[in-house]
Amino acid sequence: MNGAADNALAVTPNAPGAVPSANLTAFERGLDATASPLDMDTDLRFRQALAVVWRAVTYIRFFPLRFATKFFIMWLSLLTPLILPWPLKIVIDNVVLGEPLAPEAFPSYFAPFVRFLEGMTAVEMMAWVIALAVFMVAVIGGYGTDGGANDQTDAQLAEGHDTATRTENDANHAFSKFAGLLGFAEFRLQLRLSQSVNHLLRSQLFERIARLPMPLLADQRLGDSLYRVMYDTAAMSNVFFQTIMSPVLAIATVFVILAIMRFNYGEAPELVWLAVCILPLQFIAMLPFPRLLRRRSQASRAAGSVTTGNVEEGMSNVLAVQSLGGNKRERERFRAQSAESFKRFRVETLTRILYGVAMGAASGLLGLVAFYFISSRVIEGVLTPGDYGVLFYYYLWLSGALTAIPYAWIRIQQDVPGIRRVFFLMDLPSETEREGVALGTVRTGIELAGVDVTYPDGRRALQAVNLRLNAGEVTALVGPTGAGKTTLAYLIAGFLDATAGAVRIDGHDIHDVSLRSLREQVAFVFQETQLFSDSVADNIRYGNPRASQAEVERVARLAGAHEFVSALPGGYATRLGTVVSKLSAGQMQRIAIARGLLKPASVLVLDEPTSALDPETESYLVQALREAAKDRMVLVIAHRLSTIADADNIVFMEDGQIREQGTHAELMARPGGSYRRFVALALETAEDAAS
Amino acid sequence: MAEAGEWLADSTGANSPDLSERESLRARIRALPAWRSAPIPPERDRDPATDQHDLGGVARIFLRTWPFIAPLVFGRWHILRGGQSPHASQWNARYAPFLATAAAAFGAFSGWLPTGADWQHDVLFWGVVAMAALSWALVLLVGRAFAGAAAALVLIGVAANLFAAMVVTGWRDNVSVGLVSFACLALWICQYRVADGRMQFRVRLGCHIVYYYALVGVNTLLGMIAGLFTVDLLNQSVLQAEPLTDFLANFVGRADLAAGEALTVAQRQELQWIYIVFVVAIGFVTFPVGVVLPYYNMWIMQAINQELRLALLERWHQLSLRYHGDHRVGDSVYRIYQDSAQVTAIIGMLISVTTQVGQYAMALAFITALHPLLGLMGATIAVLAVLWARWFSPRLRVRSLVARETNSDLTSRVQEALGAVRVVKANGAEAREQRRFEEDSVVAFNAAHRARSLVAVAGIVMFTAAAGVLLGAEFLIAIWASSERETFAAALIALIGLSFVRWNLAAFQWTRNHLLQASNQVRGVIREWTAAQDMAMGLGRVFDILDIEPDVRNAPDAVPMPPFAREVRFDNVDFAYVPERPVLRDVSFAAAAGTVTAVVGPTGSGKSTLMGLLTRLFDPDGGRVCIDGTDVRRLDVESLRANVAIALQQNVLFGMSVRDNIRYVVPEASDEAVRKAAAVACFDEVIAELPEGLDTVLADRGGRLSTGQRQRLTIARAVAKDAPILILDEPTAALDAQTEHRVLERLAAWGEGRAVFLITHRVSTIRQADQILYLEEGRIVEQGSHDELMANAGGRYRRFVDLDAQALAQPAGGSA
Repeated sequence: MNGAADNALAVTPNAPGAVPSANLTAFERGLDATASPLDMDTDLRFRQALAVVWRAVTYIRFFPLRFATKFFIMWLSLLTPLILPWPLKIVIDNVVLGEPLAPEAFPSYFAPFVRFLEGMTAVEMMAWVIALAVFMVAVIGGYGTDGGANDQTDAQLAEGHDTATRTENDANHAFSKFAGLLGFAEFRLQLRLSQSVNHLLRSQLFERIARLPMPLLADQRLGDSLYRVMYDTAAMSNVFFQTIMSPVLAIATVFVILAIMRFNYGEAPELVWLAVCILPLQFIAMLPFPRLLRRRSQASRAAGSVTTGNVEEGMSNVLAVQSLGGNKRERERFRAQSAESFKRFRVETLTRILYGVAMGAASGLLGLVAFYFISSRVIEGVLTPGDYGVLFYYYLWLSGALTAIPYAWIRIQQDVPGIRRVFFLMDLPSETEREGVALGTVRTGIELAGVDVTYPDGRRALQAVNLRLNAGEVTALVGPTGAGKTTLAYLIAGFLDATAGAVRIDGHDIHDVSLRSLREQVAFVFQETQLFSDSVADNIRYGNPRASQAEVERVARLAGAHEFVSALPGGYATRLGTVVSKLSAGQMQRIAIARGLLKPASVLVLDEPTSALDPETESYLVQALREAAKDRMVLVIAHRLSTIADADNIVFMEDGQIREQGTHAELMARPGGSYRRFVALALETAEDAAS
Repeated sequence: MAEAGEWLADSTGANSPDLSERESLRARIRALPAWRSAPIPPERDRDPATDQHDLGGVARIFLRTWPFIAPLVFGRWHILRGGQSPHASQWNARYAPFLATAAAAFGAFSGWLPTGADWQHDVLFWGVVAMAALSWALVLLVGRAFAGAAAALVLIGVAANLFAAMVVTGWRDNVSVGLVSFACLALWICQYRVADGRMQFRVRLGCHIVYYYALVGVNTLLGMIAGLFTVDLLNQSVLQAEPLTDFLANFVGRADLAAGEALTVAQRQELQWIYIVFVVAIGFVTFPVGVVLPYYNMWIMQAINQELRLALLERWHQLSLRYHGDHRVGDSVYRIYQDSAQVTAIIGMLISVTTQVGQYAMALAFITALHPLLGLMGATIAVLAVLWARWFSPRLRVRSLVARETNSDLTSRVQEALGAVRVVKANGAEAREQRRFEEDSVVAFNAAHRARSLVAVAGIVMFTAAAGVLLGAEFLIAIWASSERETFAAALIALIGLSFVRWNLAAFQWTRNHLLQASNQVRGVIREWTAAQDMAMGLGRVFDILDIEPDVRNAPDAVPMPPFAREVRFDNVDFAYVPERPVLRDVSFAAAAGTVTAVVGPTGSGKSTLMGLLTRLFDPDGGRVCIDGTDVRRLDVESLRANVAIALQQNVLFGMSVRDNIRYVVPEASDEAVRKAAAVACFDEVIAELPEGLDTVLADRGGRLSTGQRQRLTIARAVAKDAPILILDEPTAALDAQTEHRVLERLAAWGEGRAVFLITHRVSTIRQADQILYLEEGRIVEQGSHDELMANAGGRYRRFVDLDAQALAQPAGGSA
């Protein structure tokens, strides 16, 4: 049904990651292999992690203005502690307690407002203070330092306990220290920025996956690709923002705290030094965690991708599952995989919690030193008990801000593996990199000269194949299953590269021809039919979107599809499902053939187009092929004699080699020939039947 | 916005960008506006007016998750001794009320929980009495009264324990209440019965949600107590030289620190170390708990989520193909992941809302005592919240639903495009698929942007409204305080010992804090409410699936299928996927065990559907399908399908080893059985060539095998099932004549005694059948053996065979 590649392709030629890292446990290796056999070198060392992060950070260059704006507003948020405390001071000191206004008790930037209030009654003063507060609420969403007197903006929605289910919050990550108009603006700006970078990344990834060469695609599980496009890309937001913003913001915060401390309290250099001590301590406590976290997160993502693969596979094949009675099997498979991915996420989170404990212990110990230091001064009588609270508060604030620097690195470790998974697929060799001569209509034909195809695991699919396919002719490829027929057809469409020998089209080496133009000239009808969840007409039009309805109907008639399509409730506009088609297998095959016929290509390749057709339909098709061959080259792979016999040239293949070729009559004339034997077998049964 | 600078490079850095790549990069960067919303295509949007949910609707959706949560609340029973017994009495816990009563009496008589000492002890005492009384009620009552009594017991129990811990001093009262509580709990946890003259006990295990919240409660309580001690130790004694309280002094084993007027410097320095030891000791307790609790919570929530995921998957696999015709695979992935995950947030949300509402009510009561106008203002915040929520909730629900739908569409788009990647490539349609993907991605992001913007606005507006009220109140109380007005309920306030008889600084700050708190609670509830709208929409999408009744279901009196002995019979069967297009009409035939029936006919004549009816992929609209005289609708579906093996037209392979693929439905099959099945299908020779033999893991869709090889594998899979009825749906279409011949020969030998159905177009295959059904437009137009049907000169079958032979014979004859 959704066949991805139905020949003996596979086993990853040139797959960069086919060798698993030595450092991984057997379990981790197994998980990686099940998730994607292409990508098994998943362990990242510090430098590699740094490289991944750096590459993610360079995406900032696509959004310089927006990023700078976001950055600027975040800087503004540092300034609010400088303003927020003062209105309340006026209310308490000058309104409630009725003390005279003293502008010099306020910082210089706030003093003008205080001077403005001078000489007013309590009610007037209060009215102005409230007016100022209302203004602040409207603009920055805060009028005081208490928890309830200021607000911040985010839109985190509920999420589950699994990597995949957390990605929506990540992909739409946005946060503002403000509320009010400024908060709303910053929130929306960042929301759009997160979305934009995610959109960019997943578009790039999708593009690259769709353009992976067929042998790689044959080995890549669809569920894994789906997981990478939908869920791994979302890891971008965090790295994008955290890496640059957190450390810078942390350092800036430190300076703001020092400034406030100095204004409110005077200097306390011992405490500052003590707070700075938190850095080496945190780094030491942190040491084992980054790599551990990366591996845990990779395992969680791999397990998630396996689960996705299971769901995808089970649902795509729901017909098979039900008729085989595999419901229970699917349920058990899913239960086990889903439980495993939950467990992997739990282990990942546990690692993070343990990290938190280690950090907490480190800062706690240092906090005790601070306690000892300050309380000793109090006991000595140098400081008052009131000073203790203030100083300790500043210490905590300061050390907390400093902790943010190592934390920023830890925080992104769960995202780094996700981004690596994205970049990994993006970096695999892509087909479209092959540019060259634009191929026009094929005039003479295609020539294979001494072509070998060997798969990396050593199997030889084709050996020394020499073949000429002429324009205006129908060539039939015949032979037992596994003879290499599909491989040969794939060579012509550029799905595969020959390991030796040359494929020439109209005299151009296929490597000199641009892939896009090659594909334009080749219409390929696959063995297993693949339809899209579009209308019947759009499915037929797939290779030629501009074709008129009349043309669609013409090819549908040729392929024997017109009759049943017209009988559908919506006719040609009927939408088809992808999981279970409303059509029978034979009907689907006819639509696929119509699709191939409609494509304005000069080469038509049909890989067992008649396998699911009844004789009557088949005879239609043979006529259609004759018709089609008038102005193009047709290559048809078939087992059914009735389809082959009429061909201008019949090529009999066995074990990757061409045994015989010629017209039906020529080949039949060879006593003891393979083709003759092949036909005899088919005829014997048929004649028996007819008698 | 001129964001993309002139130095735009290819993002991957892998190759030099050409013009079109640059263009597409630029387009992607600008696909979403920098700030604004963007419209959703109308056909994928929804109108807020169509929202069908209100508070009740959302609550109903949450209530429906209860069956998935309940098992982790109620746990399961574990029987301690002995198993099932037919002569057993009902389980009960009649011992528990005696225990509870005894524990209550013990408190009263021992003086640990005296009556008449002070009002606190009195309250507690009567609480304990009520608990004991309710424990009797639980044993005696049934039905609603039972539920009411149980709820009352839980509430009173929790309240009494909190009251004992927080309000009443001393520890003896805690022990008394704790004993009674345990006795009441025993009612729920441990029950007994008499079976065959022996006592049997069962205990309740696995009530993880209860354990978790009990742990959280204990942890919070201990944390608060430890916090009070440390603050006391630090503030009063270390910093201000006040002696320790007796309790603390005893606790640290230094009674001398409680004596005297003030502590000496030496004592205070000593206390510094005691403080440090104390904090470290607390750390040793709190750090492990800090690891265990979040992990435990996650484990519980995942367990709930897992059950919901399984329910979804199971339902999809129960739904017949009539449903799946319009279903998209990506939608399943989305519902299983994103939608079902919302269940994990429900409990936390409910608890948070409940406590916040409670705290809000308390804060409001205190404020009202100071001045009813202020109370009114506090209440106004809630009124504003309700009005605001009435406006935004339906909009948010619709936006959230659209966001979920568009994201699900995007998932389907990726799945479909990548699943069909060969066709995409062959048609050079990469750019088109890319465009469609990007369009879907943009729409999904626009929908998410719209939903999340509203969530943000909901919070901002709520804060602004609350701040407006608060600032008004602040204005009033500041003025009152500056003129030292008398507070409203001065007499009452004086009674409970607060000093706020007049408005002063303390009253100002106290009131301001409580108002802030009240507004925080309301904002907290609104926050939960906004998230709840999204959760409800997600869960609604889950229940939409669970609500679809499978049309093929076990009858209530379904029986397992007895061993197949005689025949399969179709009696006047009619069937249609959609009523106006009948697929099968009045089909009748019988197929005996030990025979081969070939089903022949043009494409689309209903052959596969016919076989689908036999395995109950769907049920007939008229007539019946019988096996050995029993209507298949009366058979248990699983046992029926276990008796039918099928090799499908589409060669479906799963991403597992060859071995597991062959024994897909019989996972317990031995290697020998697997090899035997492979041999019947001539697949053994393919296995021999595979690099790792049976262990070779196949890619997703069997990428490593050719179609002919895959076809043989699916036959091997059907054979491995070893079922008495075998259906081969175009089993040999992709095989060459020689291989086909061998496969059919071996199948014939293997199939002895079984009923075999062949759907095929190949005359060579059909010939071997004992009976041939010729189907056309859903009717059996001819039926009989090959020879019988060939004898009918003008017959359809004869024409079918002739056509086939002609095609072969013409060129063949020409060459002869």
